[in-house]
Amino acid sequence: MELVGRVAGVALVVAVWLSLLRGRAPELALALLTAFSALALGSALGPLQEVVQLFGRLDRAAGGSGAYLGVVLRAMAIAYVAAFGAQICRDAGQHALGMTVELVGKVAILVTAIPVFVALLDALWRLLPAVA
Amino acid sequence: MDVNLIYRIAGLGIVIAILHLFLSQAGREEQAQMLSLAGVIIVLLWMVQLIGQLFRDVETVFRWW
Repeated sequence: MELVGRVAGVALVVAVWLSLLRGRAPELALALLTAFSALALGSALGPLQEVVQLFGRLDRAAGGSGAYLGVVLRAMAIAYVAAFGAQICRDAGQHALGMTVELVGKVAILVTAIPVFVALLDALWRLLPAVA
Repeated sequence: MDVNLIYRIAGLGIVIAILHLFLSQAGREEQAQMLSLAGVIIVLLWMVQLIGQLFRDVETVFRWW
C-alpha cells in the first residue's frame, strides 16, 4: 500500500516533468522515463519476493523437486525483463525494437520450458507403450 | 525506492534544456550541441546503473535453481 502510494506520487511528478522535457530535450525525457521505470519495477520486486517464497513453500509441501518451479520462475523473470525493455523501446517510438525484444523474450521462455515439455512427452510415452 | 537519482536526472534535464536554449539563442550552436551530448552521456551513465541494479534484483528474486 505504501509502495503503491509512493510509486503513484513519483509517477505524477515524473509525468509533469516528462511533458516539460519532451519538447526541449526528448532524449533526456526518455532517460528519465527509463530510470523511473527501472526504479519502480525494482521496488515492486520486494513484495514479489514474498510471493516467490510462498510458491517455494507450496512446492515443498506438495513434495515437488523444485525443478518445475524453477522453470516457472525463470519464465517470469524473462517476461519481467523483456516487458520492461519492450515497453521502453515502444515509448521511445521504436516499435520494431520493442517487437524484437518481445520476440527474443518469447524464444527464451520457449527454450526454458523445453524440459517441462520433454517430461510431458516422457509421461505420455509411459502411458501409451502400445503405440511404440 | 531511492528517488534521489530520479530528481537528479529531472533537474539535470531541465538545466540542460535551458542552457541549450541560451546557447543557441546566443548563436553558439556547436557548444549547445556539445552540452546536450554531455548531458545525455551523464544521464545515460546514471541510467545504466539503475538498469543494472534492476536486472541484478530480478536475478536474485527469481533465483530458484
